[in-house]
Amino acid sequence: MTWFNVILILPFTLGLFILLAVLSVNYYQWFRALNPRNKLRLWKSLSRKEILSSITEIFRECLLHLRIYHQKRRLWYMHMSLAFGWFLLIVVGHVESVFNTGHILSSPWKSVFFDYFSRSQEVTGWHLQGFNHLMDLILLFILSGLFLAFYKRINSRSFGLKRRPLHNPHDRIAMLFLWFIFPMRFIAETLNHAFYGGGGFMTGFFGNLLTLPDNLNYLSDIAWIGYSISLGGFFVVLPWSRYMHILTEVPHILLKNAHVQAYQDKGCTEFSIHACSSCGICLDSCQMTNLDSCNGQSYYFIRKLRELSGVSENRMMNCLMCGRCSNDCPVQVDTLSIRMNERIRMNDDLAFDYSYLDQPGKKVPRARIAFFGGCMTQLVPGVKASMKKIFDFYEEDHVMIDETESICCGRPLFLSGQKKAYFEIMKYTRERILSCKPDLIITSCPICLTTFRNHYFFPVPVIHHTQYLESMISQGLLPPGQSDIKTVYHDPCELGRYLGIYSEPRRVLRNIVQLQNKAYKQNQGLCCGGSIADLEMDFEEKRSIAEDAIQQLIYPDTRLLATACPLCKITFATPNIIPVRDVAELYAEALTVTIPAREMAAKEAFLQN
Amino acid sequence: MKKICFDCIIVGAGPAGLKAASILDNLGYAVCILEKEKIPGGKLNIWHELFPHHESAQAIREQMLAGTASPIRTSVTIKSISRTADGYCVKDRNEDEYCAPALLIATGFKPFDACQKEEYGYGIYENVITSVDLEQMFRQHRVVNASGEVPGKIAFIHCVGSRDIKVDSEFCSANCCITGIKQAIELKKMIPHLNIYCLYMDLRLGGRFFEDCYKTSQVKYKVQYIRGRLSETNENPDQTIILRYEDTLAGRPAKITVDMVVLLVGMHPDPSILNLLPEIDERVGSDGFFGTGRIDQTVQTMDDGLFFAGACTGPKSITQSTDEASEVAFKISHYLKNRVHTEMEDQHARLWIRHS
Amino acid sequence: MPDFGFGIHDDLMIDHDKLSLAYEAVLEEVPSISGCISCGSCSGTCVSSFQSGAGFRKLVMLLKNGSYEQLQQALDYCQFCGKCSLVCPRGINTRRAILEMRKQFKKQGDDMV
Repeated sequence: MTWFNVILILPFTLGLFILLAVLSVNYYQWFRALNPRNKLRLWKSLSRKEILSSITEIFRECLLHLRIYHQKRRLWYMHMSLAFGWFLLIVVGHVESVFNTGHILSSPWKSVFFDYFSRSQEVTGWHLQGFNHLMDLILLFILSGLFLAFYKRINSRSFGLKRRPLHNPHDRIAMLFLWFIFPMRFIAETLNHAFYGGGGFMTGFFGNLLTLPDNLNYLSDIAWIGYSISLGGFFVVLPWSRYMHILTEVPHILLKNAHVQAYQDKGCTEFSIHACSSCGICLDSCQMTNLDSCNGQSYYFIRKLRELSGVSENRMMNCLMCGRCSNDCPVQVDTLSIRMNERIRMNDDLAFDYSYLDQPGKKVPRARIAFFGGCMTQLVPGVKASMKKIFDFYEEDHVMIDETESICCGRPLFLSGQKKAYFEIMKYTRERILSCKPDLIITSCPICLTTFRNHYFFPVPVIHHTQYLESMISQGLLPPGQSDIKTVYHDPCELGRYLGIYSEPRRVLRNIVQLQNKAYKQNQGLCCGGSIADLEMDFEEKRSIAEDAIQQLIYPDTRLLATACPLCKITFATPNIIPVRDVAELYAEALTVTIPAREMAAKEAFLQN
Repeated sequence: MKKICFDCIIVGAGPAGLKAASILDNLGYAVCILEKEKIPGGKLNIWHELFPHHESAQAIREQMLAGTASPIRTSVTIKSISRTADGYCVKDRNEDEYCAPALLIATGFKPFDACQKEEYGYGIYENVITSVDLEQMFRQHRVVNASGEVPGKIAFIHCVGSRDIKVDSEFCSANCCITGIKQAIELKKMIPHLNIYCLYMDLRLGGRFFEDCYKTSQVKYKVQYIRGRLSETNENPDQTIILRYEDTLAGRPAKITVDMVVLLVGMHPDPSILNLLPEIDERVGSDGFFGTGRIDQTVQTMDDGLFFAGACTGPKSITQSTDEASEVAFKISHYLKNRVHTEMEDQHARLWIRHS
Repeated sequence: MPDFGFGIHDDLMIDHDKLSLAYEAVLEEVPSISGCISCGSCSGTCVSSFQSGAGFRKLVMLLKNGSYEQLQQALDYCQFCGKCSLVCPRGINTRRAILEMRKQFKKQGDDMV
């Protein structure tokens, strides 16, 4: 091992060593930070068949990035060529050096700097020559992706990204190193073959083109050192940059397939935020990206968490919690849980006093069906009145729990991070609802329904009012008659992405009005912007999100916008662009008002606007 | 398909349009008024008595109609308005054309659609009505609730559709407070034992004799005023309405049950004329009414023959509308004189050139 | 310093000469709070006001006048439902303001100037 060889491999080896050391320390710490129950889940999953699906997913997502393939093609090619190409380079390079030396295990630098070490050898045999061409092909593959990456910094719109994500200094340094690696390899190999011959169809070809005097062969050595420094530098900076995702995606996928959630689990959160590849796709999904003052998108939020400085309150609270980002994320980072964790961490110790809710005397009369409107029901009395009409029409034994007063389910408290306060309120509300000893609980608010399903654990089924109406239709209890009012249905975030209730509202509406929705892709719905989880945005910003969403939802001949959530109704009604109705209101109209009258009213309402 | 030429076309036969027409008439100009409703008079057709002295709206309407001899075309639906070098050409649905060098827009306002404030229950609870609905009842001399009975308690809600960012109207309509007081007094005259409560945020009573009305309503008619903006309404099984608000002067939440609720709806801009004349979009102020509201007149008058008067330039009482209409009528007269003058000048210049 | 006959008990009199530091602090985070016209819609719709007697309007008033003890007590009752921000005619971000007020007390404990 000449002294020059040592200098050559030193940056690379040192970098690799530091990387592995830091990685082991981090992974060990994060693994220890997992909840005991989640640790158990992870262990169990490793010894079952799930490990096979995890391995296929690792291959499909970490290397081939298939989720990005389905969303944005050019971006996919860029990411995939770098990831898969580099993987192939390492694997095929290793096979090449095994073929050459005959040993299965050789030092890593033998395959990384293969062309350097095999300078003096004659290339004989088609398989060795084949390897040269293969390695060149892979290098070309990577360089093409690199070119696209470079172009993306200039013109991100051609990749389908609305905004170019802004990088911080660590990422920039790491990116520079990364961008130098493969061009340096190309230069080093080309110069190598220029002086020492050999090479594949690309490096050999260019090498032969360059006719340089032999006394300049130190240029080749310098290029090799440059290659080594790029590699070493990249490895050293990697743990503190976004490229940590390259390796951290693997444990993240294992945790995901073991059904370990990041919610209230520090270790899983750490794995998740470092598995984020900072691809910027979530910036596109986020509806706040169009607002100038926004800084709370998942991309910036997760990056801030990685940094030691932590997240500011404003950034943390500036999120609609609609779930669009985590739906589109190619790595499937659970952004909602991570944000909830941070909110709980910062806000769970605020004072509260709900002893005034303890009113044992206030009882609700017994009934078969308990209807819970939610606190916002008082602000949309149309929905309440419609449900009353429907229940009276079907002569249901029902009681409307919050008919005359507003009771809060507590979810707004939870979403702001005040978990203890939330569980306190939950006690009282739960008692009140169950005091009428119902067989079925129906609610018209998806926000309440989410929290009922997550934490309330009612002993009886609790459903959304659209599900109840759909069951009425299935039993043939809706008088036939469909008006021709063209209507678009909007999926509320909580009803759609959180609860998965898509088909029931559509089925109900199809029997009442002319539904214009195309075949939907689940989870792609827009958020109205009215979110109670966002505390930072002011009224004007929320309204502009609502206006944008309406314009994207309706067609030129749409007369009505239907929704199934009181908050969506209030938010969409405020800009006064198109009449907004809840599904219950349309159903009640269908029961009591004739079709011509309905159509006339819709026409008048539209002309008013 | 006729084409008639005038000196000035006035769109809208409300108080402003009629007043401008009467002045332009007296100055000797040929004026034509186009009105979209079946009868002229604008909102004078829906009021019963006018504040502050409870004058009959019908009488005022007759007076204003008698003040002008200009032709008033009713039931006109304007299809298009085009601008030529000679002035404006208004085409209606029957393809009749009206041309004039000056065009006065006096389209007025439209009352706020109270269905937008869903939490007040208009359109959902039958005993919630607007001030416009109540005025209808006054014209028929019959005030009853949904069940046909005479009410015993009524609540007036101020600032419905005004000063409210949630319905995109942050301006104050300036005339609803006095309308509420006027209607409260009318109700008490009709039904002496009635209990009336007015829920207000502020009482904006800037006109002459308005404060007297307020004092009269309190002292003579025992109308009660509570400072608190209505938050929610709810309906009892007997269709009476429960109101939920805060008595801010007492600093405590409050409730009241009434037989009927009257929403004092604001005066909102009527933008339908913008569909026909899209280029006047820049004349619309930030609150949706025409004009800028500046005192400096040189900034806002553009020398193009287009004028605005009445409630379409901002919430106004009838006196204010007619005052503005008089001012604008003289401006129109000045404009027309100048036009004739320049035309004559042009003709003289041509003669001069020909001779020289 | 003439006191114009205001020699009554400190608790009963509001001294508008004194600046309310907590109000300034909350104002920095939520500038829209200065647009409050004390109309009372928030308190009228508040889920807890009917039982606790305090709505958002009162919280703003107590904050401005520097009555921090009463404010701290009243803040505890808020259930954070958000109805107040839905009805406010000035578009104030009420929930953020309440969160900010709650955090002010957590930070500085009882000794607020």
